[in-house]
Amino acid sequence: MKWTEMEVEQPTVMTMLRQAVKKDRLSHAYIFEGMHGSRKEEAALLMAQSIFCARQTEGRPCESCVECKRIAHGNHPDVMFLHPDGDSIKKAQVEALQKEFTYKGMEAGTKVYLVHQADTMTASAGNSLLKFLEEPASPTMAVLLTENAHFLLPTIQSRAQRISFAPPLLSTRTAYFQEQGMSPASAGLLARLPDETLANYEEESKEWIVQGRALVIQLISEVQQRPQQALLTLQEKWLVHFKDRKELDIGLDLLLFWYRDLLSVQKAGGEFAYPDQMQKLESQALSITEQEIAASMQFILDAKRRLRANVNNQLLMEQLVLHLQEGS
Amino acid sequence: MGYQALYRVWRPRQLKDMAGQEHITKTLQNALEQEKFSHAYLFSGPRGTGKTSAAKIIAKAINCEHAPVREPCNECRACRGISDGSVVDVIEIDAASNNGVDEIRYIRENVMSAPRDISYKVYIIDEVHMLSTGAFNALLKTLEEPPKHAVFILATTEPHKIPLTIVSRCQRFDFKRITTKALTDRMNYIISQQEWAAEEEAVQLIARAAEGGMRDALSLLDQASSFAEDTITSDDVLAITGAVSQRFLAETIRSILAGDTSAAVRAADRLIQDGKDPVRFMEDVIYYLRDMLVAKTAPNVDEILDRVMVDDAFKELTGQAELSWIYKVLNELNTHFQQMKWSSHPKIFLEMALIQTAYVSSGRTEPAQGREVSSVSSDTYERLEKKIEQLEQKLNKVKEAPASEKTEENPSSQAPKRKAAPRTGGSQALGNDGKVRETIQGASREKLQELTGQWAAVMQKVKQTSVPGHAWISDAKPVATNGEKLILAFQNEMHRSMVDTKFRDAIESSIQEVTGRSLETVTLLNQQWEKVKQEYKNQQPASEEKESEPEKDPFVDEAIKLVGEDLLEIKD
Repeated sequence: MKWTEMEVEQPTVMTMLRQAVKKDRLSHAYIFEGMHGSRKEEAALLMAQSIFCARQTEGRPCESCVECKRIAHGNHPDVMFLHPDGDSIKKAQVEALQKEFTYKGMEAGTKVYLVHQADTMTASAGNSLLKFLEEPASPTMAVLLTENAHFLLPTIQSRAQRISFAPPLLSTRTAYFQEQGMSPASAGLLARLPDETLANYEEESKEWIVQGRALVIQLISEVQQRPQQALLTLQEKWLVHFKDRKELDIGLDLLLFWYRDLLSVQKAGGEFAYPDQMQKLESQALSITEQEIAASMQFILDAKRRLRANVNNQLLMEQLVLHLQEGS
Repeated sequence: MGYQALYRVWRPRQLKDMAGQEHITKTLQNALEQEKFSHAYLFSGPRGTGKTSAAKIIAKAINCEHAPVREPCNECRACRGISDGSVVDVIEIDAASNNGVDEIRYIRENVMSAPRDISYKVYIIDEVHMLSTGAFNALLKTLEEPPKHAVFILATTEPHKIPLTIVSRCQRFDFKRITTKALTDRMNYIISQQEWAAEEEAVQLIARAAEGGMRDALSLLDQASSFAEDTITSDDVLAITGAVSQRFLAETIRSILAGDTSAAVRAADRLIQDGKDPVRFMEDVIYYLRDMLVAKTAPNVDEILDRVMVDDAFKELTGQAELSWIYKVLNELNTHFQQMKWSSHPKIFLEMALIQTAYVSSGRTEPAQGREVSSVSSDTYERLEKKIEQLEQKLNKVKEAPASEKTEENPSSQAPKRKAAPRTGGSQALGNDGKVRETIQGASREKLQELTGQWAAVMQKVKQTSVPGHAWISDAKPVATNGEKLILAFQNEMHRSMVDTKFRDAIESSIQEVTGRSLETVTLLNQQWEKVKQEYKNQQPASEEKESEPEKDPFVDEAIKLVGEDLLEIKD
């Protein structure tokens, strides 16, 4: 029973949905917001199942009838999906959807549509959806899935009920990556990375991430102890390993986790991204003040922001390393 | 799915039902009564303030069979026809989907023909800011001089995107955000009509979270009522909005005020564990501070407080904080808040922002409890216990690494007798061993944490005064302090004795410069320190229960590291 599984993982959300189904008070539009891996899609499908399921009990779908099975397999004619076409959801897609929804439902009265990565909607697509979202012609339910509801138009946000999914537990994610055959050390790092950056690296990432991790440790100890060496390492190893923007973004994340760990050492607590490097962390934590750590984290986050603005990778990293040295 | 969302069920049907827009409703009512209404209106304002509702009401009022009237009757054939959409002469256009010149040309052609069922043709153009430039210009002439039977109502959330030539041809009404009070009144009315029950505080919370949008408020109310079992409580509302309780906010602000970064970081941690939204939290903190600012500058004006309910903690904080402090913190948090929305690591961002804010705002003020040195209260014991446990674990690790096998010497015989600062009379006679014991007595984890946080700065100072001194001391680690004395643990006997004999003054003066307090340094070897600590711990009856805990199974330790304590069940 997937529903019960989900209830363990997202108790608040699932109670909310169950109550709504049970009391027949489902809204016509929902925003499901939560990190990737918080199983928003499963929840949305389950909700669709309990709407269509003829044998639902207490708001829970039976998950064995024809309707439930068809929805689970993505074959139900009245449950539609909207995926980004390329990088974004285009206006034409929304218009096609609206046209589709002017027809009556194939089977039951209700129609459901799921918009994946709703935050990628272009401004005109979002605006086109507005009126349709507010007062659809036929009984309709919209579910917008997004990782950050703040990216949606405020007018969309106010038209829908927003449901926030709790982020998946770090330990669960770590365990998941370990099952995939990662070493404990790199699994811990992978678990911390946001999934969209990981999506392309599932397979070849094993080796790559382990090397990247070693590089981060090397670079940081050079930044701290042998400043002249750091720029050389950057040139010879770092930029060779983290080649394009996406990879560099991951590299910056790894750096960030190191500083986050330093902070945890000073605060004596928390989960560590580099648990096997405790000795190094402890000795570094003694020679760097809390304020400097915060400043370094700020530098890295700034660098991440600039990266998105399409700057030169090498210059960006050199500047970052110089900043980090100054801070320490 | 026969259910309709609350905000659609309770869309106002008369101008007087519209909450919080008296300046507009009154103008419109008078215009309708005197039949002086314009041929083109532009309604602008934030989401959920009633633009589309007002447009629909006007469409009904001018076509009502009893016209001229102040309000539509909602009963005659025309009113009902417009409500259910069967009258073709009231045309609602979604400008976002129909934003081309072609659609506007279509309007232009059709506007000439007379209305079929009612007296006026009404064009409601919603989201009008999405029209293309060409479309706007095509509309211009029609908008300026439409036929007598046509009325245009444009509605938008972004009036700045509309060409000035359009704006100047319309009567413009700016809808403002609905006040918290108006929101609560309307919600209470709806709750009583729906025969629900809700806590007063819950309604308040919803009103605050809605930020002046009635639709937001009703959406939330809807969600809360379907989530709640019976009565809508404030906990239900907090659960669905992802907001935190006011108590939590007050605690966080208090820790920023005290410069207590550990507490602030812990708060951030707890926040994430509960699945709350960090961006939301940041915003709430900012609003809390804003209300503190208001309360500080204009006390006794409770109505203009936005989010906060005045309670004791709020009063206390407002009393403690200085105006300049609030300004600084607000400024700092605002900058971070802007960047945070776009960050993919909101949690780390939040921590960083909290730390930096705590520093920027307070300079380097020490937490108040750092001053009380002598009294060893029961909670000092508790803190000590924790600290010892923690140190024990650290030392175990150090021990695993090949420790230098040196014969243990009694530090008091080795270290040259040095004149202790005449602060405490007894310490001189007791010698080094006594000092260690004394230090350990009053030691607390907070003080050590504070010192280790600044240790980097101390080291830099030492380097400035004496470079060899810096080299000798760099393998030392501060392990305990009681606010007067500091124990430094060394890996290596040679380093220890050099520092002890030659560079003691350099270190002590550096510490004084950095922390502003004079600390006497006591040097020990790592092994000795461990022994002393063990002895001390044995003397403490309070810590007996915890005795066994430090000797953890290495397997269990590793398991905890891997999966976290929550998931682990240890069976002997």
